[in-house]
Amino acid sequence: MATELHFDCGTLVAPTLPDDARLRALFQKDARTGVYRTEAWRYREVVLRLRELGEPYEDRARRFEPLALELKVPIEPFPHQREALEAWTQAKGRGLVELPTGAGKTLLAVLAIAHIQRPTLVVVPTLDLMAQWQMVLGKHLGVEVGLLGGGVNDRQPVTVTTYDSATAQTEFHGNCFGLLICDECHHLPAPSYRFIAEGSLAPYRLGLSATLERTDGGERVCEELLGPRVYRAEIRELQGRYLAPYEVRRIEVQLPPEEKARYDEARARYVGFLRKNGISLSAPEGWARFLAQSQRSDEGRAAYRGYREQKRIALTSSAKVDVLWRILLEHQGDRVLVFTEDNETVYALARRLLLPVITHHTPVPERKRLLAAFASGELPVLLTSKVLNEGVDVPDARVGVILSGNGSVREHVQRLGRILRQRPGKRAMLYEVCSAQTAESGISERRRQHSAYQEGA
Amino acid sequence: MLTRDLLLFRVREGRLRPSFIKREDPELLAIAKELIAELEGGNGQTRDDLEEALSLRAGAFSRPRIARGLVKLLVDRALFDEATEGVAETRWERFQLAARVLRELPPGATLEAYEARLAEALPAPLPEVREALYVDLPGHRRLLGWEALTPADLLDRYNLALAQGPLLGARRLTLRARAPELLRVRKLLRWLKFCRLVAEVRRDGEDWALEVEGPGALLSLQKKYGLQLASFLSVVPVLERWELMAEVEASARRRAVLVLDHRDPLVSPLPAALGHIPAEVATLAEAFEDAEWELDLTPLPRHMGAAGLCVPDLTFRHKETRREVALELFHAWHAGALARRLGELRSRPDVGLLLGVDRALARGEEREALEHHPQVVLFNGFPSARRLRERLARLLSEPAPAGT
Repeated sequence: MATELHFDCGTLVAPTLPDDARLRALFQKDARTGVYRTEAWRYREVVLRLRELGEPYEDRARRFEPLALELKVPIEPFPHQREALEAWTQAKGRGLVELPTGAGKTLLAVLAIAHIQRPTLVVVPTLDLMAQWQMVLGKHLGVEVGLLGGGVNDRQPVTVTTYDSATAQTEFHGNCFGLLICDECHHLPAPSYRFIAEGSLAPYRLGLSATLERTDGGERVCEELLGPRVYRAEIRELQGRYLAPYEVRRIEVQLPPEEKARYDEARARYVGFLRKNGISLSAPEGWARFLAQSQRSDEGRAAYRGYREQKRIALTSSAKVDVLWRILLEHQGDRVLVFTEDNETVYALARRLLLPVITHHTPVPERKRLLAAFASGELPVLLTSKVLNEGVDVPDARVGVILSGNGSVREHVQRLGRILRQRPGKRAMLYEVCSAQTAESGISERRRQHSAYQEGA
Repeated sequence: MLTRDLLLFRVREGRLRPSFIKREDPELLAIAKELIAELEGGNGQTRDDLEEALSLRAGAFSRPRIARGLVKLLVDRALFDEATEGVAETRWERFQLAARVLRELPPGATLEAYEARLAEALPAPLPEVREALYVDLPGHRRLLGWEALTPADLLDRYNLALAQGPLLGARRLTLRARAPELLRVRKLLRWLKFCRLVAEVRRDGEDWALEVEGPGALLSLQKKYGLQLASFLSVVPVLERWELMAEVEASARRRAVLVLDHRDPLVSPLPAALGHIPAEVATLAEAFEDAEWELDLTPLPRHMGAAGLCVPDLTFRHKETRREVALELFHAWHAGALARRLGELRSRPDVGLLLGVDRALARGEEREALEHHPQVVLFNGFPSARRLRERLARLLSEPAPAGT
C-alpha cells in the first residue's frame, strides 16, 4: 500500500509509513489517533526521503500545483538584488535575505516567485503593506492577487496576508502554497506567529528583513523555519547608491509658560492621586487599579482628567504644532510623513490641520487611495501613528517628522527607512520633535542609539 | 471571553480556582441589571460614549473588576452600525481642499492664516468640519442592538468566561465524565470535532476519560489550541457529573493546574437539545438480546483515516469470542459523510467497522461498488436484524484483525 500523506490542521499525517528509520524519525506515533504525525514544515524533508527510498506515496496533503507565472512588467534588478536571488536559489529556495528598507525587498520577492513558479503566500506585518504588496505583485506578475485580512477574505494562488490573519488561518490553508514569503520576518519568532511557518507545508521559503537580529536570539528560529541567512547588505553599503543620503535634525520644544503651568498642574493632580492611594503604574495591576479608583470619587475623576490632560499637552502641545507647521511650510514642495505615537494624537492633529491620516482604523480602500494621492503629490502630507513604520513603500517621501514616539531603536530605523528610497538628487530629512521638560526627552535619547542615526546625525 | 486583566482566580498549592460568583447574589444581579439597562437604553449612542458610561458604572461598583468583566461580555454582544455613507468621500474633498490651500500659502504664513483661509474656502464652518472629519471611526459608530441576555444569564456567561480564560494558555485538558448518558457524550464528541481538537478516549467501567488537545500538541509546535480548548469547555457542563483538569499559566512565570467540576456554577450556553436515540436503534437492540451477541449503545469513538473521528451508532460484541464490530449508519442525507468515510477506510483500513448505508445513497456509478464493499450493509429505511446477523456471522468466520 502506498504511503499516504495528509495535512491536518498544520500537521503532516501518514496513516502508515514504510519501515525506514530515517523517515520514521521525522514523525511521532500519535497514540491518540493511531497515525504518524509531524509538523507540516517537515513536508519537504519527508517527500525527499520517500523519493530517495523509491517508495510509492500518495500526496493528499498538498493542495497546490506548479503555477505558470511570468513577469508582465520586466524588472532590471540592482546588483544586490541579483546576488540575493542567486544565493537564495543556490540554497534550494530556502533562506533569509537581510536588506535595508528601500533596497527593493519586494521586487526581490517578485523575482523569487517568478523563479519558483508555485502558489505563494506572502505574510506581512500591516494592512498597508498588504495593500502595497498586492499592488506590486499584481503589476509585475499580471495575476489577480488575493488578500486575507482587514475584513477581506479572498484567497488566490498568489495571496498576501498579515501575520495576525495567517496565525489564525494557517491550520486551514497551510497546504495551499508552495512558497512562503515572510516579509519583516523578525516578527516570525514571536510564539504566536511561529506557527505560520511551522504549520505550512511550503517547501520553498523566503524570509525578508531589514533588521534580523532580535534581543532574544529569535533569528535562529527564522533560520530553522525559513532557511539559513543567504544574503545581507548593510544600510551604509547602499546609502547614496540605492538609498538616498539623509540628515537627521532634532528639535527640542519648550512648552510655552501657560501650557507648562497647565501641564505641571495636571500632572501633579494625577501623580498626587497615585501616591495618596499607593498605586504604582509599573505594577501589573497598576493601571486597572488607577482606572477603578479614579471612578469612585470626584478627586479620582479629576485625577483621571489630569492624566489625560498632561498626556495631551506633552503629545500635541501648541509649541509642537507650531514646529510642525514651520516644517510643513519649509518643505511645501516635498512629500512629508508625520509619525506620532498614538491614534488620539494623530486624529487631534488631523482635525486641527485638516490633514489626512492612516491608522489601523483606516479601511483598505481609503488607505490605498491616500497612499496613491501621496505618491502623486495630490496630498503631500500624510499623518500616521504606527502603521507606516514597516516596509510601506512611499518612495516619494523626502521628509519625515517624528512628533512623538517610543524608545524602540528598531521603530526609529524603520521610520527613517520610509523616507530613504533613492530618487535622483534626493536628500532625505528626518526631524525629531520632542518636548523638553517632559517625560518624552528621555525616550528620544534612547532611540538615537543606532548606527544609522549616528551616521546621519 | 475575558481579557487576562479581568480574570479573577486563586492559586493555592499549585491549583488554580476561578473566583466564581453566585448567580443569585442580589448585588451582582442588580449591577448586571443596571448595565443591561444602560446598554438597552443606549441605542443610537456612540461606542465611545457607551463604553465610557458602562465603565463609569463599573468603576463605581463595590467590586469593579467583576463589573468590568460584565461590561466586556456585554460589549462583545453589542452590534454597532457600519461606517456612515459619504463620510469618507466628504473627508477626501476636505483634504483636497486643504492641500490646495496649503500649497498656495505664501512663505512664512502663520498657522492662523492657514486656518483663516481654510474657513473661507470650506462650505461649512471650520469647527463643524473638524468635528465631522472622522465621525466614522469605530468609537463613533452607533449602537444598533445586542444579543439579549437576562441578568442571570449574564452572570452565567461571566462564570464560564472566568473558567475559559485560563484555558487560553493551556495545551491540553483532562476530562472525566461520571456515568454519562450516551446522548450527552455524543454531543460532547461532536463539539470536540467542531473545535478541531482530538482526544484519547478511554472507558473505565461506566466512566469516560478524555485527554483533549490539539492535533499538533504532541509535536514541538508553538500552537497552543487555547482558544479551541476554551471553546470546548462550553459544552462540558452538558455532562451531569464531571471533573476537568488542565495545566495553565497562572502568571508569566508560574504554572498551575486549573481544576473544575460539576459542582462549579458553570452553565453551557449551547442549545439544550441533546438529540435522541432513534426508535429503530432501540428496536434493533431488543432484537439482539440473545445468547450470541450483546449490544453496546455507548461505543467508543474510532479515529479514521488521517484525521477523521467516527462515533459509531452501536457496537456488537460476540459473547463467546469478545470480538467487537461497530456499526455506523448513513442515511439518504449523509452522502458527503459516506464518501469521506469510504476514503478514510481506503487510506487506513478498519475491519472492526461496518457501514450501514441507505440504498438511496447506492445509485448510479457507486451502486456496484457499495454492493460489493466488504464492510457495507445496504438497507431500506433501517438495517434489519437478519441482514446484520448474516453479515456478522460472515465476519466471525474470517480471521480476527490484530488487536481485537
